[in-house]
Amino acid sequence: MADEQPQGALPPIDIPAFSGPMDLLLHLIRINEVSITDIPIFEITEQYTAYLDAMRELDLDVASEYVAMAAELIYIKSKMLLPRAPGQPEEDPRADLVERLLEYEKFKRSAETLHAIDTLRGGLWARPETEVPRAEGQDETLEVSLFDLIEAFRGVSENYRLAHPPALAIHHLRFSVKDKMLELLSRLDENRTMPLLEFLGQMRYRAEAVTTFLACLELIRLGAVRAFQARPFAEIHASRTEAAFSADQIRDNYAD
Amino acid sequence: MSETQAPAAVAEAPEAAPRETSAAKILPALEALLFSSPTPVREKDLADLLEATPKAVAQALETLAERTDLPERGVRVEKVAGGWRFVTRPEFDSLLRKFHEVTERSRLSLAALETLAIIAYRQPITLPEIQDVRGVNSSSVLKTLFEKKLISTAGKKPVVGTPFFYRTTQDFLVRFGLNDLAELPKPEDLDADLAATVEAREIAAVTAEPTAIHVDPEEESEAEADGTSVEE
Repeated sequence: MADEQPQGALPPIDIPAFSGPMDLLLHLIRINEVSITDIPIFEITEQYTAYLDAMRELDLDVASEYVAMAAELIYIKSKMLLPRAPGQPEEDPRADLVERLLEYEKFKRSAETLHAIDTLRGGLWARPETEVPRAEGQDETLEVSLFDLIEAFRGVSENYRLAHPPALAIHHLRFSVKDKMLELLSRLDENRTMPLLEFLGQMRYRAEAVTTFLACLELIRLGAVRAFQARPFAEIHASRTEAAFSADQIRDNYAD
Repeated sequence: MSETQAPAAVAEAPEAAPRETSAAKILPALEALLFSSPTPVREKDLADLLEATPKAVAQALETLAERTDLPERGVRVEKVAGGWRFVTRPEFDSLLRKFHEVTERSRLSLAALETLAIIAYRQPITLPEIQDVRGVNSSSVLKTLFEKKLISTAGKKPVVGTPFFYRTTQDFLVRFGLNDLAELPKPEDLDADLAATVEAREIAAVTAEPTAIHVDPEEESEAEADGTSVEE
């Protein structure tokens, strides 16, 4: 049993390819020569986490499932440390894990059997699938699986995509009054005043200019901004009023 | 439409016509059929094509098996996946690989074999159910098995998310030398629980000299392989 090993010393770690956390756990159970149904959870948990550390050190990608198993082991360990409330039915915290391990072990054994058969039969050669020569025009019947169909369709759509590169993409432009109000407000908070007509004239899209203009009117209505003009047809300047106004008022009250 | 096992005939064999009863007479034709087919041919298809009685076909196959399963022959017939086919003898593997310039045969990974075993015994089964047993994401393994045509879908499970059911294929049976799924090694036979073996080992260790605790895991798997002899 385990007491042959000096206290605290972990078995030397080698990393064979594990197919998952269950596999690693079974490996530990095997090398410790303990029974699945009575796992020494403290030792096993310690060794399990040591393996994970070693895997990380080797820069192996430790899949999240391994970490989840470590968490489960630690959880079981903590449950075993807790005193049982008197009158509570005795319940082994390991029971669920044991059941899963036994089940997994069964399939692992089957997998080993399949492997042995596969190795044995790998050396048998049969006639390979070849096309039977037929006269022109005689249609062949094929048996295709769903997978073949998907694969064929993928090929076709890939060819189509390559043969038809996307034309000039035209994006649908969408501007919102809310966004423009926020933009105006932040510009005005920075500069106090700005030439509105010049600003609108720089816009690339008509819709954007219209939206910005509407946003400006809305800000004026709210009393956060005022507009003024030196003389008729001159530049209209917008400026921030003294009224306290925060961008949050816009965010909360206007839809996108 | 999808009658690939025996591409021709089958349907129009007139029921009234007397069928050939002599195994010896149909044997050469039967041999030719098997020789030409890349997939195992079912006995029923052979009988229909040769217009022979099932009994004659069975006898002819038996004779053919006897005549070919000899050390002085390079090929023999085997019964697999519900049909019959010709295969080479295993000892010519390296020679054939050299001839076909195949250095390494495609191997299935441990994860793939595990997943395949779960599907084989539990079919039809869904991906979440497979992952429950393995405790690890199995979708890429499933894809590999799919590409190797060892599994296929089998409808969808009527639960939330309607996941695909998976099952093993004809190619699976051929690859593992099974006639049908009933021939899968029984889980009970494999059930020699690790706990029990460890206990036995401990008893042995206590009674024998104290050093011999190590049991080679190779030994175990080989013993299993022998138990489930595939070539009959």
